[in-house]
Amino acid sequence: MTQEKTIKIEAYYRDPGLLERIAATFRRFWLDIKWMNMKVEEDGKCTVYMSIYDGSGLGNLDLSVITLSKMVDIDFVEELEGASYKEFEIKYNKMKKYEWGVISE
Amino acid sequence: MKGSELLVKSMKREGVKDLFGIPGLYNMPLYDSFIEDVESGELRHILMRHEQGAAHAADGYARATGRPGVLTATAGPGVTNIVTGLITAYQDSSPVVAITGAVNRNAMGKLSFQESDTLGVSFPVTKYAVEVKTIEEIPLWVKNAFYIASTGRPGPVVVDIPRDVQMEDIENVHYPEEAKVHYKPFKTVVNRDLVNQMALNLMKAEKPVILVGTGVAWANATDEVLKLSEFLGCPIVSTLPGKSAIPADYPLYVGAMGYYGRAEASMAALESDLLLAVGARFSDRTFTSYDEMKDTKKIFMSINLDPTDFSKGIKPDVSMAGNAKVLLGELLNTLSVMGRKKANYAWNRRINELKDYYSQFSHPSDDGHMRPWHILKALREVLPRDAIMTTGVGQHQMWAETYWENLEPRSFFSSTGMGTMGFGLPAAMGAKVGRPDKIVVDYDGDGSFMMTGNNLATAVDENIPIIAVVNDNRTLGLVRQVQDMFQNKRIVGVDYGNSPNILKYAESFGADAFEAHDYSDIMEYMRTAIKENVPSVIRVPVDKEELALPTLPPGGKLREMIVSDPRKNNKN
Ligand SMILES: Cc1ncc(C[n+]2csc(CCOP(=O)(O)OP(=O)(O)O)c2C)c(N)n1
Ligand SMILES: [Mg+2]
Repeated sequence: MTQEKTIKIEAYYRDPGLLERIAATFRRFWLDIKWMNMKVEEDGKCTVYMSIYDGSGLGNLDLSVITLSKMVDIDFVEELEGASYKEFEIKYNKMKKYEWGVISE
Repeated sequence: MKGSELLVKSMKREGVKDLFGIPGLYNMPLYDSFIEDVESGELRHILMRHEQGAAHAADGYARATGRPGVLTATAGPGVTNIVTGLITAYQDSSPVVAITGAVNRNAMGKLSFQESDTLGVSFPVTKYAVEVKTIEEIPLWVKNAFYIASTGRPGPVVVDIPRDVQMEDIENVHYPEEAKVHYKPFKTVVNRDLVNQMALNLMKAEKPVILVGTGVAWANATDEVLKLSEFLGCPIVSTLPGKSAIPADYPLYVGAMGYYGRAEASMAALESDLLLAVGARFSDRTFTSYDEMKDTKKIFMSINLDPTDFSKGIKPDVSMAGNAKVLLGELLNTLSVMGRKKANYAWNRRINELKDYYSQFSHPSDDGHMRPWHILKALREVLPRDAIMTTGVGQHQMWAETYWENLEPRSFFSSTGMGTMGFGLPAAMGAKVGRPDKIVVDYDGDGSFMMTGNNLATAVDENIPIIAVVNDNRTLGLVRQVQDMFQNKRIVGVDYGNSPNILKYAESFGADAFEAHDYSDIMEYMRTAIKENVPSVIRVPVDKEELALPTLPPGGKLREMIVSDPRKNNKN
């Protein structure tokens, strides 16, 4: 049985509640998220790529994806075969640290 | 125009006439804006005694009318109090719209007074929850909420509106004609090949059975199911909630099957060579063991609105997604072109054998106590054909499952997916508000009744003449029964003492109260309650040792069902 799936979610972004509901769907099926990438356009169109992993062995991958496909704000979900990804690099000039309410520069 | 006024106008445009709720700081602007509508009678506000009751009432209203039930609650405790009602509506696919007030936008996230993360608590228990962020959005999101709640697979929707958005002013109001949201109600696709395949399978089957679920009631497809059954000489079984879709006196209806279902109905489903489910998911309450069902090697076919149900439990051999009324209509046309009617004599003889065999267990005689089957029979004798019954959760609910004969579609409502004790009374109130022309009875247990019984005050104040029949066994009977039968009689944490006196409790609210000593009392008091037309409570003492049968050991298979009291050697 497949243990991992890479999916593309095409959705409408209203607020971060979208991500919350996507994550909750997988949590409820005892699945894990290995990596994800999300981008929101000006008009709210949102594309999420993510890899979901069945560590519990409960076999819920298919059911989770079809369940996700009927969620308000989600237009469709695609399952991508043979997908690969490149890690992206973050560049910055300065860092400010927040640790348990304490801010340091 | 103020945001809250815009809210009221938008709700009225959706046809809202009745609203259940409790005000607080954050939904008070809404209340302030509907005073005139309440005074003119355009809107009815029903002040419940607990927000859970408001949510169940809206749910009962929706189940009885087919239109969304509406409630309002304030932020914080008001919102958290509706959670149980929302999940109950969600599990049973009932359209409910909750308008909740939220703290001001600039107060959010700051642990301000009564701040609740309303979306956070609502997402897992609703079909959708939305924060209205600006006054301009109010009309659209009210429209969207009703659209989402009532189309596709119905369900609850929360519209959360910050107080300051309700207080803002707007000059140019635009009411959208249509919903605009990224959401698609499930499609109905008529696929000729699949229709033909279903028809052929049904013609070939020698022992077919139709399993009816709540989807049949929501789609108003009772006539089509009955026509199909008649054409094929095909027995019907149902899920527990699906019972509401089929008149109990239809001759080929065998009853509700499943965990506490009628033995003959479960056996018919097991022995069948083809099972066509309509508007029913194969829930773990109906098919207690998927392996057991698969082992029967029958053909499974399914007509269901939500295609994702085909991926759960048992994958049907042939499935069609869509509206049950439309798809059954197509199936009926195809069958009538295809062939002659069938009678399936041998199979129906077998069904009658099963009915006869199990009837010896299902109607035990009195042993110094009133018996539930007889209590429900007495009620049936006095209640009109179209009376509505709601239930609590427990043994009494299971007795209603097996023995209550509902005779019209949409007349039996119970919390079946969630099993929420306390559903019965407020749901009955909601049903009565939605259908004042019907007699509405809450058939309840003492434990369940006490969970939301405070709303009796509302029934009296607001003149909502429901009749509660409380099976008072002074115990959490269904839990007690599991301890008794399957946990070595280790009975713990279930039996109540003498408090309260249910009659005095009811009277203290101003309801009429009756103590039934025998079946003729039940009938007489019911007649009186109907005639008096005021909220009434009939207390019916039930023995705590009484069992809800058939039952199964937890996790058991339908074939393991226990049909007679194992504590006694005789059949009864
Ligand atoms: C809110 C809630 N709490 C607990 C349960 C677990 N439970 C299921 S049935 C039952 C007993 C119900 O007692 P009562 O309403 O008196 O009905 P009876 O079984 O005695 O007929 C309990 C506690 C539940 N279903 N709902
Ligand atoms: Mg009880």
